Amino acid sequence: MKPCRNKFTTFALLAYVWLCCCCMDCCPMDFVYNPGYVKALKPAGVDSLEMRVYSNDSLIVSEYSRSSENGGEATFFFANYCEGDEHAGKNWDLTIAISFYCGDKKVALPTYIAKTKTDSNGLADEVKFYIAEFDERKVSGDYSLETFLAPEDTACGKFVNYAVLNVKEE
Amino acid sequence: MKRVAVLIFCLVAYSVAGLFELSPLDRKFLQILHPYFELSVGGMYSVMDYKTKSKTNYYHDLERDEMVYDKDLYYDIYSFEGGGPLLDSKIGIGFARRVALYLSFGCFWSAGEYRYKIYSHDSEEFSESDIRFRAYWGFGLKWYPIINEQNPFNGVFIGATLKGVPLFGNKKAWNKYGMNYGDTETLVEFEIGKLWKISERFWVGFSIKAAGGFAGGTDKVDGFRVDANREQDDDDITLNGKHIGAAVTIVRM
Repeated sequence: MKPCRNKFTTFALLAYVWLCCCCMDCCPMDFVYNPGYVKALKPAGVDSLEMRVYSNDSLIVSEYSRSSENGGEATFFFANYCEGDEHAGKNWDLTIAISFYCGDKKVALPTYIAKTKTDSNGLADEVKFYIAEFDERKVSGDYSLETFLAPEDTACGKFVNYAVLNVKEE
Repeated sequence: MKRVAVLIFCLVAYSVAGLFELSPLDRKFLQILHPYFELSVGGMYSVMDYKTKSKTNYYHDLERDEMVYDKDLYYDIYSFEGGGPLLDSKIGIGFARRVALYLSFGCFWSAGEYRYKIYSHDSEEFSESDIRFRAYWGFGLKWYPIINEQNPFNGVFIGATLKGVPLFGNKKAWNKYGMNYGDTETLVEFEIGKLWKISERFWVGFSIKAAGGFAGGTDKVDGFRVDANREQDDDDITLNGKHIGAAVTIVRM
């Protein structure tokens, strides 16, 4: 009986280790991977916000925020456009162009180039950008201030504190 | 918590039992290991400073409507000076009436003038009269170096206590100016004093207390947020809290 039980224990242990190895190999990508994004928050003073994303001068997506409340956002996920085996190991320079709309006026903001890259599995970096009106006393969490994107045209109002924030942890 | 309650119960029971007839062996044992109780009533004077260091160093200059860079930018600046009564109790174990290890419970409150500034470059400063209440618990050690009735320094002691302090009454600035401050504090308190023996087990005297505090904050914010009703990370809040006080102290050991 005893050797038989030892064999079963050894087998069970090996099976357990094998399952663990399998999980380590397969699961984290699905469970842990959190793709990067760019979120542009619409200021309260404008009617709507448009975020266009270009890659190599070609438009890949347009996102809108028409929410009447402050906090409405337009979101672009890197993974929807950069991810995949065919994109593995590439550097991406995505140009983010934001416009405000107020009444019949359209005001363009300076563009911002968001950089990301895909690894050998074709997964994009977890880079996260918030583009929003910046007041340090109202922002919490781990982030760095990249740059301000204040529009020169003040037809929709002055937005000197409209800034790109690189979020380290969310 | 249950274990602490049982310990306190045991010490109280042991102390009450000590009032009755004791066998010579118990008497000898109590000379070496004995319960320790202390009650202090007095006053405390507090000086506090909080400020948050900017990590981006940009602020919105509303007059010029520009973002301005300031390498020495601080915000949510707050200072306080004021005093009030204190009540402190200690319960623990004494060793040969020389050393006491104890748990400390008590409170003190500070009434005074609070001064606030939104940013370090602002000339405008707000002030409010307010009361801050601290209830605390902690643990510490007290040393009686001289226990000799012939010595004039009989009953002199020094002690140190580490305390966890939740702060109450600090929401006035939050509500009025949208400022956030630490609402917990870790306090290190040092004591020096002199006791006079009034009976076999009771001593009465005075103690002088000096304490330094380090603030914690509200609960750590989970993740990144752009929010009008923002809260801060613990790390963003710095505090220099200094407290000095005196009390009448009664000790049973």
